Amino acid sequence: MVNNTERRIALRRAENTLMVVGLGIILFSAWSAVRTVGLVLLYRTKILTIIKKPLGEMDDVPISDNTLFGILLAMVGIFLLFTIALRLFIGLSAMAEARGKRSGIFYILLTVFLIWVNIHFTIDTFLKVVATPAVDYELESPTFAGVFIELTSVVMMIEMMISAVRVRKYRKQERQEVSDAA
Amino acid sequence: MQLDFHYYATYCAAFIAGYTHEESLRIAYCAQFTDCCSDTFLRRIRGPRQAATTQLQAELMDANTDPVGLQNITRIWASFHFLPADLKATRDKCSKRYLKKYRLICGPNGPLLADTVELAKGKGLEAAGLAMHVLADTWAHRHFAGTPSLSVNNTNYYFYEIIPDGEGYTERSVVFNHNPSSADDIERGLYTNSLYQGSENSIMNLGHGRAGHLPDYSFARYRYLPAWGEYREIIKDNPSDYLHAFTQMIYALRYLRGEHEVFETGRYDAQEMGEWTDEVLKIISRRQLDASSDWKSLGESLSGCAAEDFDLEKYTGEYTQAEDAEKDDTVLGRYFLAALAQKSMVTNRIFTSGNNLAGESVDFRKHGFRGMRDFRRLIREAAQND
Amino acid sequence: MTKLGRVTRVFTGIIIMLFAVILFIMPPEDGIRAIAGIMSLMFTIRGIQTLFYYVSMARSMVGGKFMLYRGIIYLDIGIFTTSMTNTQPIYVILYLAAVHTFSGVINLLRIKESRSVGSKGWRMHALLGITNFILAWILIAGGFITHSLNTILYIYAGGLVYTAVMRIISAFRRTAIVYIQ
Repeated sequence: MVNNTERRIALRRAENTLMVVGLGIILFSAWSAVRTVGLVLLYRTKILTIIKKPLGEMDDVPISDNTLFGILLAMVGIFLLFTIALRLFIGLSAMAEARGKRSGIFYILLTVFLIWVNIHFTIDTFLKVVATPAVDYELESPTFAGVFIELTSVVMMIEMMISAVRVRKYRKQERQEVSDAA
Repeated sequence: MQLDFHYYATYCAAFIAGYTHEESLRIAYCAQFTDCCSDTFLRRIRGPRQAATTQLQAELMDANTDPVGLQNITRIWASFHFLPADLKATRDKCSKRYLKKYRLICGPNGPLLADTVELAKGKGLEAAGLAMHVLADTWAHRHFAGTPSLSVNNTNYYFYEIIPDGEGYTERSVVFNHNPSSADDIERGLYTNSLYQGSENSIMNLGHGRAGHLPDYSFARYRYLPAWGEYREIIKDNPSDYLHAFTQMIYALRYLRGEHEVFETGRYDAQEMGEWTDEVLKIISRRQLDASSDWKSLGESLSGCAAEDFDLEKYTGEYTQAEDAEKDDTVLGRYFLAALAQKSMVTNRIFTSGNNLAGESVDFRKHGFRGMRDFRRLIREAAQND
Repeated sequence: MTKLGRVTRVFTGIIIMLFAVILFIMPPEDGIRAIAGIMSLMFTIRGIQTLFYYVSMARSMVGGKFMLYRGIIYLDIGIFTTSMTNTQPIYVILYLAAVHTFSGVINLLRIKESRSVGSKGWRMHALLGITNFILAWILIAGGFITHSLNTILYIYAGGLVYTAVMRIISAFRRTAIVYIQ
């Protein structure tokens, strides 16, 4: 009754990785959201200065700092809710697949999209920090640290994709074997 | 294992092995007493505290998990409840730190089991009872280590109970909760286990806590992934393991009585059960949380005598009222000597294998006496025997 | 408790007390920065410890990869906290209040656990839990009611002194054990 063939062991390993990484993606997204909101609150003044530069030229639109900050917070909040929802969907789908439930391919395609976005953003931030040494790094240091966590997030999503593909491959092989035996 | 097997089943095994009713009761008492001889109890009766063979949950909650505290915990649990199967086990691609814990994984028929049984030879019924407890637990508690370790003792969501269903079996996912006051529900597959703690040395990761009481139920069969198993599943077949434990106890007890010349691991005196074989199999396989009444009935059928229930206080009066010089000649006194000897032997084996998780062991012949004074009793006893 | 355990508790109690004294005498803005700096260090060390644990032990374990991600999150929290050393104190205080609230919740869970097995240690957990919740409430309410950074700091430092004293006292307590049959 024990099934410890090489393939079954590899399948369990892939399923477990999928489960762990799926959970990791959800936790990472939650922490990223908390960190983003924290950074926006911490660097309120600096961010307002950056935003008000172009607005300062429009003398006909007087907006108080609090209103502006409120709008910014709301926009960040909506964006974060969207990204959390996206990653929650991916994480939960991965965990469901790990437990043997059939998940569609959509979450894998979504993961590919997110990987592309993250790599693009990471390279962009990295080049900005490295290529423009004259920039004030007070705002950039947590962003630089954020690059580290975004990279980890990318690695996790790649690992999740590889595990999802492996899980499907091994399960297909097993089904094939069962139907051939029948 | 729990009281039903350690007390009543041991009584049955002892009687089948040829001991009298009274002798069998003494052996059974000492086997079960191994689960009760805590530091709390020893303080109460002013016994040697190093003879503790268990730790109550309350003691574990308050225990320190610094290196010294961990060694104390490991000494107790590895010596009496999770006897290591192979202190020289090897494993690829792991750190030395991991390997030390890996080598403490419990299993039956290891070299330490032979040492345990041979240590009890000629030492009386109390030592025999202690040895039977250790032997029985090597079967029930196999695949877990008697040291707090997340990376060895953890379990996860991959945990399925295998339930007999007519001619075949069905599988059901085990649902664990963490409320120690709620009873396990066999019908619905709801069991209690210790809470997941991400800390390597947390008490929650000691022994089979993460598998709950399942290893202690003789009827249970289940499939799971042990943390150390590299994704190889294990099927724990308790009915088979408990039957092996029972028949090996008969063999070991016959050796201790002198009916076998040597004790060899991997041998079982199943034929001694005779007409009682089916009854034993029925008791082991019956789905119930406590098989005490069944084992008790069997014992009374075997011996024709009433098998008294386990009473922790049965021999405490004798011990507390004895003069200091005579305490070692009482039932509990002899038990404490056996416990000290067992702890000393196992600690020594673990230490000399290059593993310091159970603490240090000093060769008395080379270095004289070092360490905890309770162990001086062993030297006095050895001198008397000489 | 072993001697080493007792010495460690006394030592950490003294460290916390010294920290409280520093908070009393330093200018408030510097005091807040010091708090943020030490919290950052603690999380960073925790992250490194967890990563080291992954490399030495958890990578040989089923599901051990979770420790890797956990270590990375701790590290990131530590790095993130360094960004608080140069910012408005009110956010540091809110952050600390959140940490104390979380610790209080953990203490509550430990009370339940201890009581269920008959350990008398639940009283210490209850005391620590209440202390954590009070500290968190003081930090939050003080910011909105007194609007005074000094007051908040003095109250907080007072709480730290109390925690330090309790820690030192607990190092000398005899472990009370209830006999369970």
